[in-house]
Amino acid sequence: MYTGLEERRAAADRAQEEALRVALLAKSNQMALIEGARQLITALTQLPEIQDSDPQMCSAFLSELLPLYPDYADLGLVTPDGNLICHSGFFDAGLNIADRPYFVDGLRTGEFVTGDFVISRIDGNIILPFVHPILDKNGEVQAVVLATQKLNWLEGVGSQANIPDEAVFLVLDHQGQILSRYPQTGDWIGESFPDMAAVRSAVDASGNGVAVLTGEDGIQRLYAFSFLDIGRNGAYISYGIPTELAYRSVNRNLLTNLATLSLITLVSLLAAWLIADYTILRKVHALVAATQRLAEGDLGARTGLTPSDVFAAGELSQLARSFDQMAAALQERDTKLRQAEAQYRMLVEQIPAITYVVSLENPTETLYISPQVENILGYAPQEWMSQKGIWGSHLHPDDRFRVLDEYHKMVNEGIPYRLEYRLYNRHGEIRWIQDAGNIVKDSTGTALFLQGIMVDITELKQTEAALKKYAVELERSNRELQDFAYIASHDLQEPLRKIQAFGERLQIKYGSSIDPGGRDYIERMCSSANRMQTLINDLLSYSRITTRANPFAQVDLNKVMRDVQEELEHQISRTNGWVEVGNLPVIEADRTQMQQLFRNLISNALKFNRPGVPPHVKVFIDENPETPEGNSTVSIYVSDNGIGFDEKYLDRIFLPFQRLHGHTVYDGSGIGLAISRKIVERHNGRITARSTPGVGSTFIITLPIHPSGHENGDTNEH
Amino acid sequence: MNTNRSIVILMAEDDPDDRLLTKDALAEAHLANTLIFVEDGEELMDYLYRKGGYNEENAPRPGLILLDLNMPRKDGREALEEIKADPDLRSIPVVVLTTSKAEEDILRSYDLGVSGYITKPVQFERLIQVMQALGRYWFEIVELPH
Repeated sequence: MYTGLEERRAAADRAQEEALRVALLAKSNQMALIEGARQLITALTQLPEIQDSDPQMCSAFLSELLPLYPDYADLGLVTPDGNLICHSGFFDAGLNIADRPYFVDGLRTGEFVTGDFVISRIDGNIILPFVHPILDKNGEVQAVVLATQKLNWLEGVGSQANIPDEAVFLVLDHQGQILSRYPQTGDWIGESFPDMAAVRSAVDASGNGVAVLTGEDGIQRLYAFSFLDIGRNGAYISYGIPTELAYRSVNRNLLTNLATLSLITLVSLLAAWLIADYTILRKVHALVAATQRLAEGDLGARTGLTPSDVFAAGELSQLARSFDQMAAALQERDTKLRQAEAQYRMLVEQIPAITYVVSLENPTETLYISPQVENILGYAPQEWMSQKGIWGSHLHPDDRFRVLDEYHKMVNEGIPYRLEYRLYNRHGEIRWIQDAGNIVKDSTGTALFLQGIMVDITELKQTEAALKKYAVELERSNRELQDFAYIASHDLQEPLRKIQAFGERLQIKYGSSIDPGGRDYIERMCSSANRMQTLINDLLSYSRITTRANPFAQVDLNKVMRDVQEELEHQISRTNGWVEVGNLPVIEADRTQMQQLFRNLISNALKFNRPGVPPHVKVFIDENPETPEGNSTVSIYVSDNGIGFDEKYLDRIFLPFQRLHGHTVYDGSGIGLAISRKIVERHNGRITARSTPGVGSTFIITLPIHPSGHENGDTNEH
Repeated sequence: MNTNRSIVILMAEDDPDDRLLTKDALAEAHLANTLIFVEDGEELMDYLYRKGGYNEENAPRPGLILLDLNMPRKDGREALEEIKADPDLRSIPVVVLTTSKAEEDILRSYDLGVSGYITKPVQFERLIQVMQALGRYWFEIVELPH
């Protein structure tokens, strides 16, 4: 209940306030018209056509001028006696205004004078007369310019202002006679406003006041009055809203279209300016006036004029249209700018980072910070901005000195900065921040402020740390595995050696006293021990590829191949084989391992020959490598005409101890290709093979010519 | 040949199997030298300094020391260092007999002044050959200080 009453009272207060504001606007409109008249008439007093007082020329000029000013009933020139010299055509030829108070005042003061609203003696319309004497060289009144302005603007303003139902605009004379009314329902002109005493007591010293009164039409309204100090008696302008409406709620429509009201005012002013420089600078001044308004930020304002409106003449209306177009274009640009700004703002406030603006005069003062600061650091933007130096105080102690030092250095030198540091959030938790910013300057190069962006990289940092830890862990476990393989094979050798030694002792020393069955067992045991010895040795060689690696050096593969052929001389002659070697390149590699690699491949090629077909091994390089690396790698082919293999086993042949044939057919533990692949991989290369069973195999090794100084695996000696 | 018999071979070896095999191989090689075993570096030094149960009687000065490198308590490397640092003991030839083929061990041993470095052969037959060669070299060919 209480709130309801309160609201009602507040609504009433606001209604009064707003009604008064509308009335004041209407008054200022009338005052502007008067000002327009003053300027028009003042300008006329300066024109030679008028000053010369030539009745004919003067009449012609004024008659031509009047259609441009539809607000005026007539323009004329009178003698100091009050007799009409010339006019634009509506005054009575025999008119004498010597008795009019405003004329008397004009002659007395020698200045522009506004009269009281009067009913025209010619057509009964309400008009406002103005006079401005023209003085001769001696300061004597030579003639008086006379103008009468129609009181018809209420109609135009009222209709455009879109006032609520039953609301009225009124112009009253000092006695309460209705001079003008909008809307023009009923024949109220000339009637009296019911309670003039109430009006007089309502207005204060400044001439404004509000009262709830019953109007001429019997409707109770909240009336706002404003006194017009013109002529000898003055007049009132009033805006009335039905009480019911006024007290119900705050209705935005009460304000009417304020822009329209002020617009008409301004148009009148503009017209006055135009005529003031009628002969020369009207266009320029019009543009200046219009531009001025735009500059004041009133982009929504238009002259609102059409050719049939105030300016009837073609040139002026064109100007008005140009003005409108310009204003429209500016408004559109402004709208786009606002949209762009809204988009930018959205972007700035949506990205998962804090954007900020810091004062240059006082670097501890944050001028703007985006809302993300709440998410990332736990502070509301207002909170952050209200605490000077909050950023510096939240820096991690280990980073503070470095960051502040770099930050100040870069700001002083005016270079963009990019910093990474830890910042405590509100809860004392550490956030990793990547901060980039720079000084924003205006077009003249004056530094304005510091603008930057802080990205929360905490998760990134955590991932990075985890990854680093994982990599170290992986390297350690890898090394352990290598060590294990090496040490295991070492230590496995010890007991194996004993088995072999004691087996041998048994065979030699006690062989004769054991029966053939027992000797067979011993033999099998010894042979198994020997095989195990081979396996362990193979495993050792396999693990030594990384544990006993040599640094890379320039290796001539042609020389390597000669050494390999020498090494395998016995096998080549035994198999009746032929190894054909093309021209090979010089690459950066581990020489020992290159020899091991090609020895394995060629030995294999010789070994897996077809019965009755002497092995023919070809080693050559691809002249036109079609590898993604282009010329930085070399592909070496080792092809044979041996038994070949089914390519479905391609994955298996490179694994340690994987064999495709029984021990009895082809010997070997199956480590050769595994070692070969490990060597190639240590050199950052690839090895693969193509094969057709019964036709032959081709092994393809792709090696980098310069393995980029980085070798795969460590060179630790064990 | 008479003097040969009196020359004592002292072997430091923690592995009983290897001790047995070495003893067998020495016999097979028909070397009549006395072979005395100690089981680690500590015991080796006790023997040489005649401490901890060793005395003039049971610990004759060896003419050759066969030294394993990897042993508990005090390993062969440490013992070797001590022997070569002692002016009285340094003249005793020391031959390393180990499973290690590590380049580092070989270099270090010669650095410390060993007279030979032998990797334990896998086959017993080879071990006999090693013992024969050692016997011939040290007890027939070269002259040792007395």
